[in-house]
Amino acid sequence: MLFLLIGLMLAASVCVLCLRKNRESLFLLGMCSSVMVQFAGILIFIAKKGGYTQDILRFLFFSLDMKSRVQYMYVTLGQIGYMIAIGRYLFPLFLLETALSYSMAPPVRRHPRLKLYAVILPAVTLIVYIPAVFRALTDAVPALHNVIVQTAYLWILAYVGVSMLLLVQEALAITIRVCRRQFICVVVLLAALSGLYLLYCGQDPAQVYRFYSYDYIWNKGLGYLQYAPSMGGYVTLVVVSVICGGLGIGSLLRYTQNTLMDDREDMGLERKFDVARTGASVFVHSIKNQLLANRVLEKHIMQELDSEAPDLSRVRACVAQLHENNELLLSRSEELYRTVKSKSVRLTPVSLADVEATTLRRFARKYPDALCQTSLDPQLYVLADVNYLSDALYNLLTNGWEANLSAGHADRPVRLISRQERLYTVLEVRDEGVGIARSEQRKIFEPFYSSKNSNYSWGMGLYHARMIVKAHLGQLRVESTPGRGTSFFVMLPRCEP
Amino acid sequence: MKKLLSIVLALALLCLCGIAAAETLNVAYMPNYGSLWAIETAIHQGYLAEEGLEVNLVEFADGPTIIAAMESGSIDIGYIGQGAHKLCINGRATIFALSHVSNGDALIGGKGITTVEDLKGKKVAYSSGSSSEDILVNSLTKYGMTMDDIQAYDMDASAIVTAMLSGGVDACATWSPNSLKILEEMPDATKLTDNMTFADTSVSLASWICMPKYAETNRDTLVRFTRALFKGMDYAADDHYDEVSTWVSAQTATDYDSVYNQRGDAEWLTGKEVAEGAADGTVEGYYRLQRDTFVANGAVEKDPVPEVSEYVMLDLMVEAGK
Repeated sequence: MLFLLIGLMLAASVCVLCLRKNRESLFLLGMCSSVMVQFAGILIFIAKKGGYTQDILRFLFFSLDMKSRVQYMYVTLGQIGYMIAIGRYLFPLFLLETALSYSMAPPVRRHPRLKLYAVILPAVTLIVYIPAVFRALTDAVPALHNVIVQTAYLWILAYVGVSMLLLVQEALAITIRVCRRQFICVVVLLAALSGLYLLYCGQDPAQVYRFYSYDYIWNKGLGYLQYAPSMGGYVTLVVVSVICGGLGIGSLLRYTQNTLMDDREDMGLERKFDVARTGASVFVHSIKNQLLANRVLEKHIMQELDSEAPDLSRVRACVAQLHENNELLLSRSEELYRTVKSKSVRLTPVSLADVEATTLRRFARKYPDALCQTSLDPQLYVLADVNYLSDALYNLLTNGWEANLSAGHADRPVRLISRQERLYTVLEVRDEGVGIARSEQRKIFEPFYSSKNSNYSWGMGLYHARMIVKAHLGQLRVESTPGRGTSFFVMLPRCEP
Repeated sequence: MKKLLSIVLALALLCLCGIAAAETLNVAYMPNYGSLWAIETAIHQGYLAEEGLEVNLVEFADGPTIIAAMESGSIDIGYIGQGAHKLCINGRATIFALSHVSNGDALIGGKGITTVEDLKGKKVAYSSGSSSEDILVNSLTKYGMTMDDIQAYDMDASAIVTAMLSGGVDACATWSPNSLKILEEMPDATKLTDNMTFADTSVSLASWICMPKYAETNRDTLVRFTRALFKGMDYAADDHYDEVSTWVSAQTATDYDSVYNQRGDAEWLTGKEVAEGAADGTVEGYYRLQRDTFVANGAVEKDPVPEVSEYVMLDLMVEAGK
């Protein structure tokens, strides 16, 4: 059963690697593989050495026949021991590499070589634990035996401890709820894997191939030398293992699901983008209807002008209506064109002061009287096309202000705030509107989706903003509490000018 | 009515006392005739129950593993073969009963290997620390060779069988029933040496052991257990191989014939012989000879070399035999 749990985790980690194709996923696969190899070695050893009741053996091997097959496998004790050693000494390395890779702690960022140094201890230990090398060393200097065993145990505990500290510190440092939620999934997964690992890592793998050595210090840990454990102890072991395994699988599934959903959302948006192209032609067709309506206005004007005593006030009203329709059509066409047409962005280091100025200029043009409070760090730079980025922020500010108005909060400002968060420079647009229901949060980025009056809103703003942010290699996230307001986070990769 | 009620209550009380008195021991064994012949007889003939003991049998591959399990506290009493006795001499466990004088170990050559000298440079499978290592080292020493003259492959007992039958190794040192299985299934195999080869210079013993601390605090239990064992040995050695083989094959889930064929693996001592031997010094002589062989092979680290009486409870054997 335990093997099944780890097998599931391994399969899920392969999926994650295929989907994400990044270094952290590779480390995750390495961790799952290490635990798997360690457990396989322990199970082979248990099958060969005995000491477990038939019920426990059935639990571990699914059947006694399977146990017999494993028992008669042609493999030396040295090979089994080294198999366990590989799992035991690679897991902490992969864990620490993952933690270092996720950590934004200044000492870690300042010393990128730490990742390289972390390899030294596992590499040396794995060389020392080659059965022939271990035997030669300990036979030549018996005192080395204890030193090697204790040192190896100490550093693996230190690696796991430091890794967990870094991960927890990182989780606490994240302030954006959605990002923290996702990161906590990773932390829980790694903690569960580490829990499983720690349960069985206490015993030294050299005990397998130096088993009969009479001077061996037999560490009494849980695992492959804990024979016929008491029922209570065994139940505890199984429960803890299953909890760790279950948590690990749960977190991994959630992590995978998040990954899949992100990808699927993009695919969905791509598909909807095509729909948008089709929608554009539909839109042109609908414009025709409006033009026909304009033709009616034009006829009214002509009728008035052809009459003996034209009512000029009526003519003026029709002209004004025509003008308004025309302006509306023009602005709509421009907006649609800007969204649908293929475009490229030119990314250069831009200070947030420039971004702020351009954004506020546009926003003020639309809402001259709107309250807007900005708090952008002028010292920070982002890699951006200032026009496009400002356009995205302008859209978000417009939405935010309109949300404030519809909530009756015309006296409260919409805010534009900047901060540094892990690898990102985050620009937050915060309103105090009515908020967005959870069910609606996914839909708002779809093209032509709007909760507002469609005469004035085409539902392209957020879609447009998201496309711009993605073009800047960033992410657009939303957090909303109904009744309290909404925050949009434009997360752009950090840039050092 | 009152009388009847009193009798029923008294009987119930007696039963309860009986149940409460039954002490359960976790006993480690190896899946072969030599390990189980006495204990299975003691179980099935009710000798253990007579002593107020129940046993929970747990199977292990070899003696050193049993000692490791005892150190972890999960096993009370265990059976060991010749090799693990060096751990007892080094103070890791205490011997409280002699089981038998074994002849189950063998050094077997594969195709084309008919003498010990033929092993030079060949792949030889063995289990370090066990009687398999002893017979290999003794054989090589007898012919002026050392472990450096062969390619030694340290394996567990099960893997040795597979390695030998698949041709993965050229020769092997192992114990019964693995040795019998290899000889039966490999027509080209040759038994190069066995325990009898060294009968004039050494002795291969099998014993019952426990942790030194357990021996100090549970002497009464050990006496009762040994008494039941001795009774079992008396019965089993009295030409009851057939019956004992049936019990052993059921416990080890192996076929009857392979168990029955192991009846020639040892000199099956009776409990009476062991108790008398413990009293007259014969048993001590066996263990002294065994200890001296280990000392000669450099397997004893303790300095000074301990007296037999320091790790063998000869007096307990005498007491149990009374």
